[in-house]
Amino acid sequence: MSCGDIPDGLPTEEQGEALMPKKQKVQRVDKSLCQKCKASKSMYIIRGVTYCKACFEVSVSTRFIRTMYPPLKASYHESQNNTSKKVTLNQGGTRPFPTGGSTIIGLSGGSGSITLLDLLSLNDFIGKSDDKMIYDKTKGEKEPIWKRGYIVHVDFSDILNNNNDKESQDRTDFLHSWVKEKENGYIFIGLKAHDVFNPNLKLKIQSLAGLGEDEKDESSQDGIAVDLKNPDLPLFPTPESSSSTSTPLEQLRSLLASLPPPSRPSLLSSILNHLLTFTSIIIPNISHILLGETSTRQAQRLISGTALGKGYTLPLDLSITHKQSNGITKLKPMKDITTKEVAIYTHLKGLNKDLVRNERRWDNSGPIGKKDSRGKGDTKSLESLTEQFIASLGVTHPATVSTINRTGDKLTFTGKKGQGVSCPVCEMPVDPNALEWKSRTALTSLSTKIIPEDLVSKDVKDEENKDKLATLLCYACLTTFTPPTVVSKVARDEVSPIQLPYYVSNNAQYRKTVGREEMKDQIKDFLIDQ
Amino acid sequence: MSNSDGIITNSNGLGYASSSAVHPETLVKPPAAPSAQEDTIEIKIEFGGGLHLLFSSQPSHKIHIPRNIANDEASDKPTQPVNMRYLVKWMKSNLLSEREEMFGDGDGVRPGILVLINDADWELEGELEYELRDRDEIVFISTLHGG
Repeated sequence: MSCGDIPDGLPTEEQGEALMPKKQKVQRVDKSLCQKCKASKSMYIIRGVTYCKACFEVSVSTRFIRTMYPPLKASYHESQNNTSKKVTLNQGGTRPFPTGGSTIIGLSGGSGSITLLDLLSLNDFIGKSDDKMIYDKTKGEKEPIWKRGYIVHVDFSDILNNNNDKESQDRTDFLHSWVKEKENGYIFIGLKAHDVFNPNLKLKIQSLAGLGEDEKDESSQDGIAVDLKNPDLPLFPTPESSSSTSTPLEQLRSLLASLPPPSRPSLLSSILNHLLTFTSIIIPNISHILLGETSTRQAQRLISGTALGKGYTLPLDLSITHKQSNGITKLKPMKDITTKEVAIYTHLKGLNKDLVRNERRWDNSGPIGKKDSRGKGDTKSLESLTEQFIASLGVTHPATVSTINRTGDKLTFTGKKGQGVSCPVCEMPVDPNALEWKSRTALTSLSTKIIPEDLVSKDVKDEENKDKLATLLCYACLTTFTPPTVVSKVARDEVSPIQLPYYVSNNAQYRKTVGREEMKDQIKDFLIDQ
Repeated sequence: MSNSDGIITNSNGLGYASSSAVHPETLVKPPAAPSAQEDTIEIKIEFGGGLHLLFSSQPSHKIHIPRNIANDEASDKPTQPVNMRYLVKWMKSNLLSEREEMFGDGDGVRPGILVLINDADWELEGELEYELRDRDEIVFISTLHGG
């Protein structure tokens, strides 16, 4: 037939003429030549596009600026109260708008954060002083976007298993000297993971930042301990006087030891987040927190976050900007750049040999039992498993990461921003129905089991008086703290509370007072003024 | 063509003794290295991103490997120039101090490890089939976080 319709469903040789002859696929792209300048030999191939050295650096730098431009433009117009002017968040512009505040840069020592700092310094985005932005236009200097940069590095080496001393070294001093060499007026703040158990953390940060120290807070830093063997996670207050026998490092170690290895990375991640946020609150006039998270890492977090139950807050975590309730925005300018590109970038700058250390080794934190190392290749947690999965998939399917991220970008946060409560551990919004779901899916007790009478009376009386952490946590943190399903009866009877970080106890206290106020609000119409 | 003293020279009037357009590749050769005639070639290996911790914590290695290796596939030549596949195998047996699965994956390297040959991406040079030359520089960079 002339229209090419094949009624039988199978083309025969005569009918083949009706179909257009299939064109030979022409390889238009010459992979040996850079596809951007078409002049030099191609050195790197990223997502199917070849680059020479110069075009590669330009590409990374351009994408970096382009990602930062829209959010800073929006906040600039906001601060200028240009509400009448329509803000078009188009990509473009060669230089983002100044923010008028200072910034905190999270430096983990991996390729992403080192590249971030390098690009910020190269482009003169960060000024050198807190006061008036000093820049000399006659010498070609441009107006910096942030007044001052505070570099925060959190060191986890003390809690990693030391197979070889050199493996888990404290790299704080090394990074500090590199930052000093940049001579851009950066203030380096080196913290340790166990500082979350340090009652004087605020003073420490203030002294490292060169700010005047507040007087030592006399209001007691009451600690809080939790019994992790009980699914309700009852809390035991530990007044300051009694909890000073163990050092912060020992307390963090015992907390990690009481959690199964797959749960440890997410706890450490919450601790890292908290330290960055806390520092941004202590230091005055901070407008942004800059993080060097690459697109590959984001894809890993998207998938592992979904598997861990963080789906509710993922859209906030994954966005380029996340304005928190305290007014400080988390910004991720490297969101469009892959880990391969940052690795090449740091190599080209000669930083790979001594400076960059990509591995965090959080899988190796805390004691590892024999039956814990189930995964091959040192994988003990979902996060490392996801990372390996995406890396191996990326070999055969180069578009893996961008596909995952594009899907992730479609997620929207369903909760009301600014309202609602936060989880005490991860400090993200809590899905109100988390505990309800958990109780519906988990078996916490068997009603038919006969329990001895004396045990009942003691437990019930105690439990009524205790605060329960389980009701305050978000779904993901609840999963992290869930006790192993098989707990021997002996172990269950002995209550051995584990000390929690100070910020968790502060947040839990805050939730209690907020809860009470909310209840008061509900019944205020019925209260008789006395 | 002028004939003088029995020496035949091709002069094109510009002072060149022979026409350079005839065999250009024979005129421009890489400088002969001192080890050009030997059986081994020198390769410089560097590690980045913390990968050197698997290789006795040494970030830089200079090694010598044979210039030609036995040809695995049935072919008319008994030997073939040494390639990346051989180098990776060689490294696994000679340089790797621990945890082989963190570096290698079968014949190749683990996904997540970036390989640069003379600063260029090995994907553009043929990956494992790239034939090594004397004094090549190979860089292995780990991009994994390990959780």
